[in-house]
Amino acid sequence: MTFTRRRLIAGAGASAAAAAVAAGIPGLQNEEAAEWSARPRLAWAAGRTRPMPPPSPERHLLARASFGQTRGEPARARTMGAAAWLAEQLTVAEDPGVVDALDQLATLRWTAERIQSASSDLANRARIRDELVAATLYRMVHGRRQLFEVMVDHWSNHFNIYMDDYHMMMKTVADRDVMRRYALADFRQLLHADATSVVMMQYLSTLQNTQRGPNENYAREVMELHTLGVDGGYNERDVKEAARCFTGWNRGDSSWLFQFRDQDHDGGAKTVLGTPILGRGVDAGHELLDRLVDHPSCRHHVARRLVRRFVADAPTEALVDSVAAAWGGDGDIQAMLRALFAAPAFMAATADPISGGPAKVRRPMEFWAAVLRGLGADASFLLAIPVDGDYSGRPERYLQLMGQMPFRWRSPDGYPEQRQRWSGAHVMLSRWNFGLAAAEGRLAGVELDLVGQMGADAVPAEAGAIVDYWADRLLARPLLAEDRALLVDALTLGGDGRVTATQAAERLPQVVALIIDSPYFQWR
Amino acid sequence: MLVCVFQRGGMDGLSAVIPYQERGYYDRRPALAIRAPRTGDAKSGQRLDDRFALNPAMTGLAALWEQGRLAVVHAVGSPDDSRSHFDAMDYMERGTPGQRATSTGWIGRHLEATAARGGTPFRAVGMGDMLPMSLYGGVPAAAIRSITDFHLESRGDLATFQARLQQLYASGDGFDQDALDAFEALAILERANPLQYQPENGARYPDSAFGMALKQVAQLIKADVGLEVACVDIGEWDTHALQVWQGSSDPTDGQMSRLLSGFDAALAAFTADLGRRMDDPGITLVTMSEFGRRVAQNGGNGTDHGHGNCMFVIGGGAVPAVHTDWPGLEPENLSGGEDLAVTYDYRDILGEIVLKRLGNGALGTVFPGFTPTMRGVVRARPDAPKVPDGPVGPGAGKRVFLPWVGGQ
Repeated sequence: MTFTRRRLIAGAGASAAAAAVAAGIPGLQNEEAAEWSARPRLAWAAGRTRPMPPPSPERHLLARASFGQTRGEPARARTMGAAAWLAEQLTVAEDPGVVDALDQLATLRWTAERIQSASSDLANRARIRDELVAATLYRMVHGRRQLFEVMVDHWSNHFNIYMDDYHMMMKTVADRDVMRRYALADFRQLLHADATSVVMMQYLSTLQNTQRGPNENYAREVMELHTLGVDGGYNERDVKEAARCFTGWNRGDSSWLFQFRDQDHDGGAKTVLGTPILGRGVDAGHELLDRLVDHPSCRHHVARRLVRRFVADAPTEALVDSVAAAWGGDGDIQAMLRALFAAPAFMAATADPISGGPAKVRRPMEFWAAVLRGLGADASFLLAIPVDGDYSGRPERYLQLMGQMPFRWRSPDGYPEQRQRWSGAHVMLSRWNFGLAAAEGRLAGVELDLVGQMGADAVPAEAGAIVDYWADRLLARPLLAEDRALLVDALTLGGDGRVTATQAAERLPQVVALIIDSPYFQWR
Repeated sequence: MLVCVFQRGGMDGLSAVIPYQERGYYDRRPALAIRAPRTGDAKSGQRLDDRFALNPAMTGLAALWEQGRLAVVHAVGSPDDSRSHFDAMDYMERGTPGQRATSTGWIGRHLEATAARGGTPFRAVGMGDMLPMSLYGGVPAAAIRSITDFHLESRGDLATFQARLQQLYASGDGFDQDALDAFEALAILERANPLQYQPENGARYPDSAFGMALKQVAQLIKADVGLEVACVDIGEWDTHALQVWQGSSDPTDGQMSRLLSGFDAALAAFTADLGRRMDDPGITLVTMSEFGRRVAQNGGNGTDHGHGNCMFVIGGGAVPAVHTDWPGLEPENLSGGEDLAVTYDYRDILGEIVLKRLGNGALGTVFPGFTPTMRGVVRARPDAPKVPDGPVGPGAGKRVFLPWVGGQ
């Protein structure tokens, strides 16, 4: 089969506009020009050729509030109802099996002091970082508290730090004592805890911020990214004054925990956001953080980021307002989540209002975890930590290729949400290769018996039933009839629909890979 | 053919190109300031002219300067005052400072305005995991991390699998574009055979992400895949601390030297590798960063976010000079009392390259609402729209040229 642009854009409704654009360009064949100009419009074309059907409510909820559906979970959520499923997610304890499995990653429990003393050795640094990466991914795949893990990931991006090869090993402490402790608590606690975490103080230069040499790095980002948003109502002067509030915030020499150094603090009068800071010493910074939390821009900024995570890249202000309205006094994270998931706009957000396509892309980490969850894979391979951070030949390598390893986004704004930021031929190709490797049983350390799984669920040896079974296992959205037919044909190769065990074993991997690699699976 | 290098984080232009006649530079940077050029002193600046010198770590650029293939622009930047990385980068890449509503990037609009040859997903590439904002627009551009990783792998019959997958992607759901680009790129790279690549002229790329990215750009240029624009990022420029190690009395002893030297070595390798292809009418490489850094050092031997910066333009078309309307570093000359002022809009430089080197006269489309002033930073290709130096209105250069394809 030849693949042409023309086939893709047929009926896309963009050709008239494209021809007009093309008409202004000399020396072009009109048809070619129309093709080129029409091509970019494709993604945004309102008149889509073959819209994918919307997901059922429980599958939509699972797609957004977890790292992907697992065998039987959609049916269970449907029986429980969305509200009960959410309530369970907000209260359930971690699976003891997961706790046990993670027990072997000893550095997760290390104190800051221990991490610091071990970090003089480069191999230890890699181990500290990679055990945290392993635990994070393991919990995404196997954790029972899926919404909690999604929120930990969300806050890890909201308060992003970059764990490079040599620094920022204290992220282990912050992950445990800040992100995981307050992920579903209130934003005020979370912000104070993050501001005083040593890794954030390293990453945004608070440790270098003294009266003699003020450093504005943290002061700016805490307002721009963590609390108010870039249009949140502060100015350059506020940044400078805020930096002075945080002078002297530092760490203990041996404890590597927060410690205030009065001799480095600028005790002079400060005014931020038009109001004097009354607190003295270490209180000045805390007073400022409280002021930021109480500023109306903060609840909207935090709500907007939540809505962008769970609902749509370009959310309506009405929905942001309704989530912000659940803020309470201190930024009640659970209340905001309940408001978000209960909003009619959440359930309506299965399609993007502009493109008509699905609204939220599965970013690489979400895609990666969803594949393993969907196939029922055991992710124990994660627990064998790679040597010197070398992931060659391992399943995590695909995350590197797709550009989303945990804690590897360099700048403080965190991994982007927008679908366009995750586009590109290379990311697409890596997604496909991961789907193929997973379905064909080529992921190192992952034993998968697809045929055995079908046997356990008593799937009839008939191509249609097999395709339906895997589509149901893996997808939130029902297949279009022609796509189902294509998959059935991939299994029967034109036969009468019956497949032998040998044929199934031989052809099933590529069929499952096609489902994973299809557009259906690329969306949340 | 344009290679656009973005130094993410806000490069300290006052460390890269030193204003060695400025008292304020030495007064306000006691630990960081590089010594004025002095023969026999390898840690002093490398003289460019009577006022400016290159950082001693940048020996590759110094050699390009000697060859007449390097233009330096100073006190250049965005007119927008933002000191936020994300805003400043975004504005710079959209090409419309201060306007958040612009949904396309300046290079994306350039490509749209010259939409012509088509047929390749490699008209524009961003080397990295994600497409830079500047490439957003009507013409699809590929984000590529490694061209050698670019192949599908299956135990089964790959051709059948790929044919079926292509059918599944004809759904118009927003991923078709990526899928289409991926299928086409697979076919093109299969023909180009990048695994066989050997750099020419003894070029040695540093083993850094930036070095590897530039090497792959060179591969794509030589493979003649239809590349017109490549965007390459180099990070880590947000040097709030330790540009010079604490306590060191040697201003070349610290992070800044390491960063500049890595940057320089990769650029030197790239220009060496491409050799005569860099010359007329070949390739123009331009560097930029979202903002410069404060004139005064901070308490951590680093510098905070500033404003004006320097840019480098490399290639046979570069006019070898330090192009600047230097504002000075006395307090009354500084932006906000603390930062190097911006006297040349960065769009002047990019606009001049777009017009004179890429042959695209539609500057009003590339930089809407702005009239670039030609600063004489590059020579015009013989067939570029003829314009005198000075402001160029949106109507200038009515002819739209077909872009060159590949590394002619």
